[in-house]
Formats: sequence, structure tokens, C-alpha cells
Amino acid sequence: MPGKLYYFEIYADDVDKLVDFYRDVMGWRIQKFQGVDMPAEMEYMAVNPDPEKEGPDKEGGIIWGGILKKTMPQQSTLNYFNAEGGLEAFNKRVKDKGGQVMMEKMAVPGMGWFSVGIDPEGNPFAGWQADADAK
Amino acid sequence: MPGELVHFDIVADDVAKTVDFYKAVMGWEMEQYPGAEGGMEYWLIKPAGDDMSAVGGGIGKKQMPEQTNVNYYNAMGGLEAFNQRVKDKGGKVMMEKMPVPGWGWFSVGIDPEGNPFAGWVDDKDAK
Repeated sequence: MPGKLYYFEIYADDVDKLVDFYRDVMGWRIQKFQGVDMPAEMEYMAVNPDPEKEGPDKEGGIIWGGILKKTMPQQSTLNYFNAEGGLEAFNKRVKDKGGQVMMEKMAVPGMGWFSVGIDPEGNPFAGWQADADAK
Repeated sequence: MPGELVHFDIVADDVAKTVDFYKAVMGWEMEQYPGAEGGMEYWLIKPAGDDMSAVGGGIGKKQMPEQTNVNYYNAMGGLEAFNQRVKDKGGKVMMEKMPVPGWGWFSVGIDPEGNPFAGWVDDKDAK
């Protein structure tokens, strides 16, 4: 499905505190995630609602998420949507329709590519393109 | 599934413009929510064909200027227990349990870092 929600991220200054909060409130299983080429000091906590599943579920309705440290003060929650037609076409549409591309295509090595945009009302969102060869 | 993401809301002052934007950018098909009485403007994303696995989403008019997008998660143990945990863990409940008639109940909270989120419980008898 075009534009399917793929992933969500919640940003924090105090990551440990939010991990503790969401674990209790939501019942989430949360573990430290160390991705390929990810700096060791980068604190990234992966949310996995279902211990039976090992990765983002592309078929079913279970969405994975992450809790991570803010790199800009205004960061809050960010949803990732499948970018129909690839990220170049996606970002072109964002600009054509009056949005802004805040971050151009970036690799998540071994998983895919993403970019971050802002809609005309100032709401952030991310485009996602799965690609096992991304680096 | 505890804490499963079930829905997301995008908020806007100009709903028509925002619906147009996301239709073009995401390829979403959208339709106006029929139960919107009292002038509430709310558009729902239509799942593609039989693909009911997609998480639902909608675009609605801002009720407060500071409102931002919010994700809805299944509230394990019901909304009373959910909101109690929110408060116990240093969050705030911004909106207590409210019905979405014929669908379920939700409440809105803020985590200790100021991020908004909503709890959700399915209930066809909600009114």
C-alpha cells in the first residue's frame, strides 16, 4: 500500500527516563539497538511490541519504533511512511506541493533509505525506502 | 497486542490543503469521516483494496494552536489503568477518556519529555 506507516520514533533528552516510562505505560519490550556503522555513543532504543517478531513487520499490522536522543531541541515524534516510487520522486512531490525537505536521502545501512520532510502546516514526517544493500 | 500502534493523527489549520498535500506525496486515498457532526473536519485514510494490515490514519483540524501530530497505541488493561500508569511514571493526562462513537475510547497524555501520545481501547458500543 502506498504511504503505509512503517515506523515511528520518539525523541528525548533523557532517553533512559523515556524508556522506563514507555515500558511501564505501554507494556513495550525495549532493547538497545546497535546498527551497522552506528556510532557506539548513539543511544538508540528499539521498541518491539511483539517478542515473537524479529523485525519491522512488512505484512502484518505490528509497527516497530524507536526511542532516541534529540539532536535538535524541537524534535518530538516522527513517523516513517513508505515512499511510493522511491525517495527522489517522494521528495520532489514534497517540494512541488509546498512542503520542505529538511533532510535529503540518508542510508540506514543494511535496511534502507530515509529522508525527512515538513508539510505545509509544519508537521514533520519521514519517507522510507527499504533496501538491504543501502550503505 | 499491548502498546501496538493503531492509528496516527495529523493536525492542520487548513485541512483541505493538508489532505491535498498528503494525497499527492503519499499516494493516500482519503475520505471525509461521515460521523463528523458539529462541523469537525476529519479525513480518514482509506486502506488500499483488501490491505487491512495498514495502520489507520487521519487528518483533522487543530482544536488548539499548540496541537501537534499524535500517535494512538493500544492501552493495555484499559484506559483507566493506562492513565494511572501515565501519572505514576511522571507523565500527564491532558485529556481523559473520550468516546469515538461506534469505534472505541481514547485519552491523550504527555510523556516526561513533553511528547504527546494517545491511548486507545476498541469498543463498538462506545458512545
